[in-house]
Amino acid sequence: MSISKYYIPFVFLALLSCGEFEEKSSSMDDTPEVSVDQNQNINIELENTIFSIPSPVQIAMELSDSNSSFSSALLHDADQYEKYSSSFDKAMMLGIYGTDLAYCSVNELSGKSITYFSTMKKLADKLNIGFAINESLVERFSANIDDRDSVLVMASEAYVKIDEYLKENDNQDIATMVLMGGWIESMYIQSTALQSDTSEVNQLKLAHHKYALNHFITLLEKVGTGDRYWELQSMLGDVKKLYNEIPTTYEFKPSTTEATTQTTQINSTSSFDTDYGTMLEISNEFINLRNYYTK
Amino acid sequence: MKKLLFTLLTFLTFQPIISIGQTKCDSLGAIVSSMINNGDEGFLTDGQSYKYFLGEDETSEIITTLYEGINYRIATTAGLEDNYMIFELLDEQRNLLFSNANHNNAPYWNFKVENTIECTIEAKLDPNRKLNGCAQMIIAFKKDN
Repeated sequence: MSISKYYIPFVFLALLSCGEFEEKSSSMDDTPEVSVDQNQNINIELENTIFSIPSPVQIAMELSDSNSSFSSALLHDADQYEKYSSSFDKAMMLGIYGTDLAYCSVNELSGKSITYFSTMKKLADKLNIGFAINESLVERFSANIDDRDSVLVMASEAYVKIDEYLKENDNQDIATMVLMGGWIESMYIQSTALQSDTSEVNQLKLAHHKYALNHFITLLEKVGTGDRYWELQSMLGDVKKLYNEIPTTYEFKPSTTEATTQTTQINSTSSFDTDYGTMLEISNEFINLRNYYTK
Repeated sequence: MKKLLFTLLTFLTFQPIISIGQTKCDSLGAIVSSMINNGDEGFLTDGQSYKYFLGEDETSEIITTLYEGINYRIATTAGLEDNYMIFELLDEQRNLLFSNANHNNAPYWNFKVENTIECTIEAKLDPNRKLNGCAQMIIAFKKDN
């Protein structure tokens, strides 16, 4: 009886808290399927601002289009994943292996792609987010391994699921480290490419990541939860000082929109006044950073 | 024993509510994903989840870099109707580059980029169509051929 006494108010509160979308128009009453409890903790943005980081697949695609040839020596050994014990390291390695997967997939190395996908699965299990790379996805990945486009779609799907799960479960710090690891590995590969081909095109590709670097520093300020985050933030701050030596300009120009194809051409222009000396220093910083975190 | 039973009853009361909310909010993912490759156009998501709960007059912003030589598709949804969401693309000086409000709140739009630029995507619910709710956005890309 006493239990019922306590239980009834909870049932009442539960019914009250079952919030739905407030539809402005009654004509939209036929769309109630997508609704959400307003008290649910799904606010994943940081003070209403989210930072978008370039996908490892995008950077790998750019590399494959340049003169840089694939080098397996740049990959982080997949067998090393067991050496990482802290959540910080495991999350960073998940990102690093994610980029290695993208790098292999873009270059159509199916055997290595499977290896890195499997390693990501093992690391995800260790981070208790194994369901993001579930057995169904692993099977689809294996079955389509020779289809580069399908593999890249599935890899991107896995990245989204990992990111979504971590953010929705209030693991912003871990989600940031997964993105961080992926980006550091991308910068490592791109920096190595720059050192073997010092063309202005390669310099610009690395220079364009000035904004992403700033985004990561801000993210770490917001979600960092310990010394290792502050240490990484400090190291990125050193790279930022070098990036600040590259003068940039921006000029707004109105965009051109073609409604029939739902396409807008962004006509604004920007420039990055790179010099090889500074870009070489930046590339060395990225290579050292990546080697500092890998065992 | 009573404490255990009490805890169990409380859990059983709230769990379905949380699950229902989660499931229905999660269904936005399938809706917005279908906008990315509705014509097998070769777009890939950037690997990040942009999901948020928007209140009345509340805006969420995503700061991103658009890289030269890449084509982008930005897609967003807040439900089964296509036009609940308004999104704007602003440059680093807050100049308006695009607003889907000028195109009947089109749920997705493509962008071609000549030069690498930093942008802000501002997203909010159209107050004439929905007052609050869960929303999701995808930023997808493909190489410019």
